[in-house]
Amino acid sequence: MPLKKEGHFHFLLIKREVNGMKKTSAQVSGKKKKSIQSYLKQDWQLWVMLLPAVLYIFIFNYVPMYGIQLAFRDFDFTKGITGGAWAGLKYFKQYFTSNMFWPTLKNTFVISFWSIVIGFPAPIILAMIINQIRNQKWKRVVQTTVYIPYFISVVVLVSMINIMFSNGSGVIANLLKSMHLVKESTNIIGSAKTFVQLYVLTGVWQSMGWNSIIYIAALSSVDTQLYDACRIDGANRWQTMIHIDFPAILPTVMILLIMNMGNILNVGFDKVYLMQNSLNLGASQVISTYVYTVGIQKAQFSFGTAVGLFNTVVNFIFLIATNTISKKTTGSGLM
Amino acid sequence: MAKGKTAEKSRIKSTHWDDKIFGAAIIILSILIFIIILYPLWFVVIASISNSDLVNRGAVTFLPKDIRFYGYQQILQDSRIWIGYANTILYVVVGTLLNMAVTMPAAYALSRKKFKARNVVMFYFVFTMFFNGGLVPTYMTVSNLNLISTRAILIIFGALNVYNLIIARTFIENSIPDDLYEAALLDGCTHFNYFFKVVLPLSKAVISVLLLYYAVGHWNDFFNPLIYNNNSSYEPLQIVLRRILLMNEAFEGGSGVQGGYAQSSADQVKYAIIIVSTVPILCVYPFVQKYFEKGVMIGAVKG
Amino acid sequence: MKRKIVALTLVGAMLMGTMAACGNDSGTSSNSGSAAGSSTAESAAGSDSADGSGDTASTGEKVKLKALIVSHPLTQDINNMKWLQEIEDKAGVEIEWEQIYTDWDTTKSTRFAAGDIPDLLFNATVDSDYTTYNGLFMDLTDLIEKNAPNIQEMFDEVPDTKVLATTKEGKIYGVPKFQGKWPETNTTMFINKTWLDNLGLEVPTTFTELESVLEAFKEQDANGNGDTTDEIPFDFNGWFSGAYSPVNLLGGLGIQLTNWGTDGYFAEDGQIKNYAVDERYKAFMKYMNGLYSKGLINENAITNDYSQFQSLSRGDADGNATVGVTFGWEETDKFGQDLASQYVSFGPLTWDVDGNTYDTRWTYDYSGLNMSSNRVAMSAKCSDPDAAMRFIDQFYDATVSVEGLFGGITDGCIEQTGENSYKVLPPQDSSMDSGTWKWTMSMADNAPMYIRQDTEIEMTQDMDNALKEREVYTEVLAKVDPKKDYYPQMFMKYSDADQNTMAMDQANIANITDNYWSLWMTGESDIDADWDSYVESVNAAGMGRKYCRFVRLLMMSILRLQNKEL
Repeated sequence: MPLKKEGHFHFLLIKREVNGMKKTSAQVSGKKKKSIQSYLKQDWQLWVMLLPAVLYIFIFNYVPMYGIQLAFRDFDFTKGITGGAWAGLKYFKQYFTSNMFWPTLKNTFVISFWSIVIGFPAPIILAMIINQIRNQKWKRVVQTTVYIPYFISVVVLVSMINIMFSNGSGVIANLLKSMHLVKESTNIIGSAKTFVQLYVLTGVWQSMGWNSIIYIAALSSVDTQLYDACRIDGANRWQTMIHIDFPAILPTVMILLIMNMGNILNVGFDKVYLMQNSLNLGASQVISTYVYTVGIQKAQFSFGTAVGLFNTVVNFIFLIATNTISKKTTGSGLM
Repeated sequence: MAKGKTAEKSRIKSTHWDDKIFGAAIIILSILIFIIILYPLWFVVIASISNSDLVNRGAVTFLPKDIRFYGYQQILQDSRIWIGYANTILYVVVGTLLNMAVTMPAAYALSRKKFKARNVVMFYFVFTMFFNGGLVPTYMTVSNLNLISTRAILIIFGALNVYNLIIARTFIENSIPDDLYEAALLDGCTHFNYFFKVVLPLSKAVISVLLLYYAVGHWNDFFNPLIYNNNSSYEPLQIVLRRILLMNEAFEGGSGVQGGYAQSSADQVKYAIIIVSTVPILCVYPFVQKYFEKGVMIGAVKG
Repeated sequence: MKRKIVALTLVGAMLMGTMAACGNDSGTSSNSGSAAGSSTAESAAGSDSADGSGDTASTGEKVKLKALIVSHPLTQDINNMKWLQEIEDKAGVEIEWEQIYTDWDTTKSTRFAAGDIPDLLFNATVDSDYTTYNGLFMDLTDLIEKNAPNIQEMFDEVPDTKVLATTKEGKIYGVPKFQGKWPETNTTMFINKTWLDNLGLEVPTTFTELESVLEAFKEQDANGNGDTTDEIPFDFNGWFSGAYSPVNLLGGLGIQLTNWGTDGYFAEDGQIKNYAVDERYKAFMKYMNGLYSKGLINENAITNDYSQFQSLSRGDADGNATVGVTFGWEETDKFGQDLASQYVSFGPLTWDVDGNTYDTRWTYDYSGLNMSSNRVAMSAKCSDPDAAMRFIDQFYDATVSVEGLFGGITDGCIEQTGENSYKVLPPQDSSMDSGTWKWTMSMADNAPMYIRQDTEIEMTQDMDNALKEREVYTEVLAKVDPKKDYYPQMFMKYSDADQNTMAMDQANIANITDNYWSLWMTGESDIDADWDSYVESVNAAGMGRKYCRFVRLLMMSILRLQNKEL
């Protein structure tokens, strides 16, 4: 089981170019016609600067893309990796008609949905809280601590979950039960009903701090004069937080939300796989674990590629859709 | 800069009573979060020095029990661990430098609003965030370049991260005024000159952000060395640790395998590995933190 | 999913059908069966000269070969094994080893699909690789006849190994091993005798007796520490195909499991069935549910991993035993040195729960424990196949086989005490147990080897224990009839198409069966209400298809196994 971190770094692709472009082009055409020529003359330099990146992406990302056609072909080793007979949509059909299609799609979607609903606002709230801490030492301590869980490998995280949430001996399970947050009879790690919560909340624990970095940074850039003005107007701290802090990070929030929507069907494989057990299988069999058991373990390359492609296309559609909605409603989008 | 601002903030005395409640709520919440985050981390520490049988049975809660250092001994007595550390440091340092050399010029080029191909090139990059050819074709490409089991591939692979490219591009685009370029152009400055003499010195913040992101990425990289390297003397730390971890896992029966006799200390290794592998990179973090936040701030938010 | 059930009910119905219903296309396979038989005879000639092959090679220049070995994580650097150096020299080869410790399953498909493999692959392939990566591996049939007297000897003396190695098309891609000295069953059921004595109880022999013993363990202070709640009456690990799973008890309902009961399939009266859709399984699940609802089963057993399962049996912090009944390989392995003496193995239980009676059985793992295929495979592009084959054959030499399993003579792991007898020496590193030592110093059970029937090995204490503990099963295991109720999955060979369908079907079936047993056991779902729709959907998921394929393959395997006793 790979220990690979599945930390998704979502960053900003803010593009408010429409305004920016207009302004600069107006300036340029108005004042310095010469520079346009210089720009053109110097374009080759930009290409030179792009070259390593373009080349790298070409070799390591675009060249192997011929592999995508495997989704539409039978894998036949003797004829080379993509030399097998054309199978059309056979492998897609195989997945769509399998009794695993709806359960895996539904489970993947449910996990993603709750990951976004719970996991997305958590770092925002954390950042706002940290930003409001007055004691600088304490602030630094909290800030540093919350990043650390990000470095714990999934394997260890899952064994920690199994120990701490197990029935009878699990420290956290017992705590939750004594607080009546969870029914006494519930087996937290062995139940389809608690799987999603457990998955999402432990995920929040692990990545909330790391993901909050960007919001903390955004908050620290707020112009102090705004706070002062607000104070003078008689606003209290809660109101300044709502009226100044939150709007300040809103563009960031929107962009990250779009990026998250573009990952709607990307439920990290490792953690789900390791957390699976007989009792929670009804909620924990997701697309990536299914692809793993059939596509990778049993070497069904074509099938694995087809399901993977389906996954990617769904993600892409979600990304485009959210992006469009966001552009229409808030004016900011990825591209 | 950040410090000055917050100091200024706190100089304004709270006059509202509701501010006091708010302040108290913040303190309570932050303590709560701190405990929720810290307790499991503390657990890793005590589990790494306690009898694993007791840990597995849930007998270890707040303090270590039946203290033993088997986990650390197992890790540190394995001579490969030092090779692993050395290799990882090499990959982190050289790999990150390469990352910067590829990412920064490209980010600069893409930040030029007058650069005509800009949108096309941007799409060229973003497309690969979603679509890829799969592991086997990628492996064959690397193989055709004769890069399997070389140090080079462990350094080159992942030379460009599109997310990071976008951060850097946004930073340059938004934090370095266009006027500066116009002025430089009048002085006969080329893109190269401008990039090296003006943009790089002004981009220290975003550079430190990318340095950290890339470095952490290289540090934690497990999958690429697993796939693209078969030479044990090039193994990075994560692979070595993985082996030590497996070595100490209880033998699962099934083929009449005997063993598991040393069980009571075995699982310690799992927890000790976390500490051995993360402490060094955690130590780097505070040094970068200052620049880091500033970098993200300017690079991303003011878009 | 709903649509599919209708369409596939027909297939599902075939599950209960006779062999004739599915067996029509079995004719194709009989060829390979006879092919396997005929080629055995030709080879007897070379079998007596075990050392002869070395001389021919050692005269010339050493042949350089590359080899890959997937080794156990404990195993030392393979270049430090003196016995291995010795046989390299003897075979006149110089091997450049690549030792893989981690995640071979992940990297393998990439490397195979890219065609990137060295000359020899040890412990790195499975049957399906030869069909999936058709043409990547060398057919060894002729090479074995020409260069491998030791392997020939194994094929002649233990014909099963040849059947095991031969593909559907009659080719041999992977060389198997035979280690003959391992017991007939992997799984032993243990009960805490001290607890029984404390409570004045007898070792249970039937299911109802087991239940009352477990109840006593739960209600009373069996371990005598003053606390009546810390006893865990019954613990287990895993379910289908699990070595330490309660499904081993299905033997009491007349279900003869073989080789860890792979995915629930078993043979009965010459037919293949799957207990997951058998009425007896339903009765058994009700029994298990009864135990669970009374709190007699460790409620974390379903979710505990193997480490936790092992830890639990090692007693609490004060050294009190905590588990009453559980499954394991050997007592010191399972309970630790201190508690091992409290436990005894106990025999198969007789079913007396619902008035039905069955012929009691116990899981039979002899072939799985003692032989396995694919110890070595060769690349089709191997630079010197003859030399490579001579090298492989060296592993099957009478003495080298023992060295491969327990460590070399010159490494100080074993000593030769007579012409055909060896003694396994205690670990030189006193901090290691003999199991760990073996895996550190040698290839152990992963090695290519042929331990002759007449080779005598004085083994370590834990192996002696393991054999002694299993004496309670001897009588029941003797009932296994290889023609009627031995399900030979490990001997079945599949075509590429078979493999593709089965991979998919098995994943779909497992998704249902893996889920329901635990829901029924814990009572989260009612088995009486679920059963019919469960059976239907399992069949719809492909159990029917798979069953038919198995019947065909079984016929073929029976043909191949016909002339031998297990």
